[in-house]
Amino acid sequence: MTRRPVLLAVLAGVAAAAFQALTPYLPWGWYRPVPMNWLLPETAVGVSFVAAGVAGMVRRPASRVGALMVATGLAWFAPTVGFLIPLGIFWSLSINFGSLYLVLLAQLFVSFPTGRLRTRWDRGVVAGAYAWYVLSNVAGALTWNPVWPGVRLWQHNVFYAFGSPRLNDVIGTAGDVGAVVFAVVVAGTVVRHWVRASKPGRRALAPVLWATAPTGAWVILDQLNNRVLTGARLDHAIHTLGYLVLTTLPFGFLVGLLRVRLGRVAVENLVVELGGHAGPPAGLRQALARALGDPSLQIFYRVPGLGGGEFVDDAGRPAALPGADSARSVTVLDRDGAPIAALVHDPALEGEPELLESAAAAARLAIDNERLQAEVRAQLREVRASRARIVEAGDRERQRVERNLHDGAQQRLVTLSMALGMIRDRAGTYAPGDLAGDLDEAIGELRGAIGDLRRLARGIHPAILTNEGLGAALESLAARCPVPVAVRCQAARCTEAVEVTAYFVAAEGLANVAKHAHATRATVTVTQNGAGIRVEVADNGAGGVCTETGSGLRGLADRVAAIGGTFSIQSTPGRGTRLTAELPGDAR
Amino acid sequence: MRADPSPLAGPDRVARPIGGAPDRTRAVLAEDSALFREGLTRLLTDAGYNVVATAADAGELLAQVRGHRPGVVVTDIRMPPTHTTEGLVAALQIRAEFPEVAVMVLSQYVETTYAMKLLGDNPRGVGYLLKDRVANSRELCEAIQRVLRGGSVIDPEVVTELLGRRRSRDPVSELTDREREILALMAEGRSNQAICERLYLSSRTVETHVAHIFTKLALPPSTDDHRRVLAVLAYLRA
Repeated sequence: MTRRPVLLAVLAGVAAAAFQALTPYLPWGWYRPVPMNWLLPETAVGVSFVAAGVAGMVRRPASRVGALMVATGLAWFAPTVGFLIPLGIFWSLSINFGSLYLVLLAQLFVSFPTGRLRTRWDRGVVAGAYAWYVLSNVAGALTWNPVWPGVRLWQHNVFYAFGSPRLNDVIGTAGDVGAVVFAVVVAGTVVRHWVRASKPGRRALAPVLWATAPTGAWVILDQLNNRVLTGARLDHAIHTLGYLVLTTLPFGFLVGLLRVRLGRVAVENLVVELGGHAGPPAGLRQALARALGDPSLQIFYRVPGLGGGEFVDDAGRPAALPGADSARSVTVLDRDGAPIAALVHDPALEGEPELLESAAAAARLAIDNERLQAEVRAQLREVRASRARIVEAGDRERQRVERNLHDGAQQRLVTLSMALGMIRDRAGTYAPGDLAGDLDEAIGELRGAIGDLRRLARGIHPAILTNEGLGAALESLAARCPVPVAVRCQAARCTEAVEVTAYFVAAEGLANVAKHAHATRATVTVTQNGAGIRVEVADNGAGGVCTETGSGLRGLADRVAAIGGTFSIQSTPGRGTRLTAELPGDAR
Repeated sequence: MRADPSPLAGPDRVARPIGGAPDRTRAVLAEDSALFREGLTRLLTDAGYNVVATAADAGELLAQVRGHRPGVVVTDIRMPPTHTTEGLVAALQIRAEFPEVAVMVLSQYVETTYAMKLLGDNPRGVGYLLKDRVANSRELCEAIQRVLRGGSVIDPEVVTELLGRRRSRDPVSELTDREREILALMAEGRSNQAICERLYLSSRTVETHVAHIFTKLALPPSTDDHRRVLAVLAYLRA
């Protein structure tokens, strides 16, 4: 942060305070609403805001709270202008719009500790307060023309258009009610921030939370003063409370702002911890979270060239960084000028950029390491997903081919055989020679072809699997096996990809049994296995099968893996073979 | 050359409709391929059936059956809109709604599951035939005749698959060739009388074979053809 704004703030504060203190002694005497004995506390409030604000700007340049406090202090002094310059317009502005500092105060509470309004609710509250301020004061300016004893000629409300005591009363009451409502809403918002804040956030918010009660109480009492509550002693008490609260409040904000600071010790611990860091990615996150005192800290790694967002979480899942709208802050870390990761953390840490910076510097190497691992994990996820998609596309294609064969060639050949049959019927009656016999032969050939085509279509994709489920399809498969097969299927229906895979495991397994095993019996068992299913094909044959010997089994293992399952073969020579596939239930 | 040109010829001829009883030769066809539908209509018309309506999908089939109350329904198993087994589902519905209507399902699938589903626990007047049987109109019409007479028909190829199924303890393999032949014919839904005619055997001989088969398979003897076909199929599927 450059020094100029700080310098300007100091100068403006000193000047404003000086004018405020000097006004009663200026040669032209005029009416001023602040009695002499309040002059000191009146000045103290503004000075305290400007001073605490300047301190905040210097110590926590990343936070806008300091600047906001300076602005609040200057707004507090602003009405002095109306008493300094003998012009009706300034006087009118002062008496009508002098309460700007109250709205700034609301903004301070709502935006603490970053000085930024993060959520829509926060922005709504502050925007509402400003709107109410403008609306009620414009209405007042148009309808209120105070005439105090001793005022000069130029000291009149230049905005005054019309009015009556009754209208004044209504507008005044509405303004006061609005102020009370906003006091309650702002206090509620601070409490809400506290409830939602993480550890560092709460540490910063604590003094402000405590300040909410007296400040809110004073705002409410001040509105009730001279309206519901009357009496000089009460008036005096409320004013005293007001000056006390407003003078100490800025230091509450300042303390909160400075409390975010965590010692250098935390970062030193982090360095030591990272020295021994070889654990899972969660370990790095925890170490950083501890060092920064923010258990809600998340690390997202930048892996460019992925589908979707640029960032992934530590499991390699694509992750979106919280937007500017979010109640979380984002700090992007870079290496050689290119972003490598993003820390998503409590906004309170923004007030401590040095801490974030040093912690991130200490963890940079580990983070970059994690990023590379996250990148690999993300690629792995992508590869797995694409493999599953390829298998699925293959299944769909087989299903389509089966359907086309059934509704196309098979249907045509059957129709043709019917036509030939009818010709043969007629030929039998009228045609000479052996025409009927020839036709019979042709029809026989045709039926053979239809049978071949039917078996081919069934091998490509068994329609019964789609229509009747795994159990019926396995029974049908077993019925065609030359070795006796006992089928036991005790699983609920699964997704198509899982059922098709289970079917092909059984089909390939039984085909191997028939071809190579010299077995006298086999079993196919499908059981529920948690959310997924377990398929087992066992025989009592020769054994000694391994994945490398049969490309069919290799293909099966690939297929099972493609939908996220596991495949194993137990095959000891002379003791039969057992294929086991465990398939997840949720594969698409 | 048809030995049996009209379904009304033969010993078990069905009575002509009298006073509102459905005409047993009235047929409704369901098949989504227009070419096949037309061919089949011609084939059945030539065989003496009166094809009163045709349908291209299961919904239309049900509507036609409700409207025409035919004697027999011949339907494809796979039709629009899902092209799975809507013909089978419609057949079951027709059987539930109009038990007197004979139903013949034509299918491209050699799957006993579908055949058993169709038979349910009442195999009267129902049949499951492979579609390519249409090449032989005599064979097809004979099968339709059987379901019209209240019998059941299971395609021989489906039965062959059932018989070919290997079991670890297999009494079927202990049957003689003749007995296996008779078992297959029973599974196809044929009566003793039909078996006699088919194999040129005397009814006493067939009865003896049947008794032997039931003993060897440890099935309770049954004289009722309907119960017998269910028992044999259940045994073969087990």
